[in-house]
Amino acid sequence: MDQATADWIGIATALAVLGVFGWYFTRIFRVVLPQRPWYMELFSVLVVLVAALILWSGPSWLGGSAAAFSLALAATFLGLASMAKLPQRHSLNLGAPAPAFVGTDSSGAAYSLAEQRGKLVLLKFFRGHW
Amino acid sequence: MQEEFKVAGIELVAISPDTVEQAAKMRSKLDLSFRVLGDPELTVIDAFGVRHEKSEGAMAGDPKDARGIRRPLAIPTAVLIDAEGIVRWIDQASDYRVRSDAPRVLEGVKQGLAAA
Repeated sequence: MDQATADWIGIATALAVLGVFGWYFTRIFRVVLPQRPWYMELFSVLVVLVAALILWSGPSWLGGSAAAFSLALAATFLGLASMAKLPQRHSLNLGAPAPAFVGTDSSGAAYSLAEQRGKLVLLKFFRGHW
Repeated sequence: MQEEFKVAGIELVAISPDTVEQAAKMRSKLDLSFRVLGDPELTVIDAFGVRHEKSEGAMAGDPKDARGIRRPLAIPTAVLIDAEGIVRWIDQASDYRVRSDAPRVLEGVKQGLAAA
């Protein structure tokens, strides 16, 4: 591959990284992604491979920095993704009564689980600190 | 999602390790119509055993307290409780980035109730 081609691929990769990560993180912050986006990991692996190939083929400083930038961003993403695993743990038993509690809702009102008898309740524990 | 639960006759209640004020802020920011409980003392979170210790799986941006120790979070979990107060379905995400989408949750709810 000649240097001009390597440069162009490097720049195209950097633009693709900016576009895809930009799209992904806007959606993450709007909490609209429904499931684990495996395609982001695939994309990042591809970017790492392409960028490494560009760097190895001896690009100019422009193509080289574009490739290095792409590589750094994609590698960081893969690193964070590998840290995103959650423990699977709770102290509940299916078919057993749920622990009774009285909490305070966002308007300051008390909310008692015991008072919800006769209703189906889906309790969602949020991770918090969003 | 909130509408679909109403139709299925399920009351959706969220619990977050934030203070009541932070929970109110999040509720309006995310435009949630259901009740959000603030549980900064982790009373409810510990009663259900879903505390997520600060260090394990901590992300770069996670909040720290004054001493630089990461504050505990909750493991994202959905628990279905039936009309008699019995736990019928438990759903925990294996990854931070997973969101429970309504069709999947409703399917789980249906199975949980059928098994009862």
